[in-house]
Amino acid sequence: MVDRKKPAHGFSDWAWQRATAITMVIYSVLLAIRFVVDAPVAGFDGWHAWFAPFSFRAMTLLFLWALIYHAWLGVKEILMDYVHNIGIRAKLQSVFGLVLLGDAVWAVYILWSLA
Amino acid sequence: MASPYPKAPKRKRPKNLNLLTIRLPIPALVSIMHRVSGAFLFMLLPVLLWVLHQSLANPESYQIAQAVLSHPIAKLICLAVTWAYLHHACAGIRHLALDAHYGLRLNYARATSRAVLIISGLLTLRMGIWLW
Ligand code: HEM
Ligand code: HEM
Repeated sequence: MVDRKKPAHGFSDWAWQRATAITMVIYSVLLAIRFVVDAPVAGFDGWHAWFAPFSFRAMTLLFLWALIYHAWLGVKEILMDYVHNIGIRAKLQSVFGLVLLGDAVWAVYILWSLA
Repeated sequence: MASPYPKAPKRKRPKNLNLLTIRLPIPALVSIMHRVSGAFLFMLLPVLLWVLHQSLANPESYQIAQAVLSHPIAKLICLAVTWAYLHHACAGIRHLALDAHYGLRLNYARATSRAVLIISGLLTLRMGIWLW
């Protein structure tokens, strides 16, 4: 149920959708620039080394988290529009939410398990 | 549960749901494509993470990722993901501009929609050339 006493709930979802979108645009542009000025050497070693710098991994993780939270807000919005049965919508939301939560943890693992 | 929506009036109203004769205005096309591309990217996210993981974990898994990605169908999927991302991003930036009250006049709205389609198409083409 919507808690009318808690102000600005919808606004913050709206604002976060935009903040995460801008984060992704900035990362995408920086990534494209890096590919042009500092292309990875072909093969596993070059690709692996490309991900070694802490700053690049940190930015990539921030990007993936922004992406995942953005997708969560977007998916909720879409479900709200098309699934009117509250019970089914709640179940779908939990499933998608768990998947995205798993993605978020997995992203840390991928980027921080590099030997 | 009772429907929260008001009952539709009994009176017959003219409707046109024939997909072949509806002329969808370009801004509407860009808008629905933004939604479809967002949902598509959401569904493919685990696959993308899997590929990223395989390509980085160790030399053997890198080989696997490379073998999988060299399949033409995998390349097509990569291209579809790339297009979805670029379209969604361009349309998203346009959306943010509209939120900030830039480009609201109809002729601008049409022009920027067309620009979204063209720019994301060209960038995808560029990626496709690189993929093949
Ligand atoms: C903006 C989009 C993308 C850009 C600019 C990009 C660019 C690149 C570049 C320059 C490499 C290095 C190639 C090498 O080291 O030999 C690479 C490797 C790779 N990319 Fe992408 N890529 C993009 C999207 C994707 C997508 C959508 C996928 C998967 C669906 C993907 C999967 C891979 C994999 C697995 C590798 C390592 C394997 C290999 O080197 O052949 N990339 N990418
Ligand atoms: C540079 C990257 C991106 C930008 C600039 C961007 C921008 C936006 C914006 C502004 C909205 C809000 C639209 C509205 O309020 O109606 C939105 C919605 C959405 N985005 Fe993104 N986005 C990006 C990447 C992504 C990615 C990678 C995904 C999925 C994994 C995604 C999934 C969604 C979904 C599902 C929605 C809801 C669509 C709807 O309500 O119709 N977005 N995006």
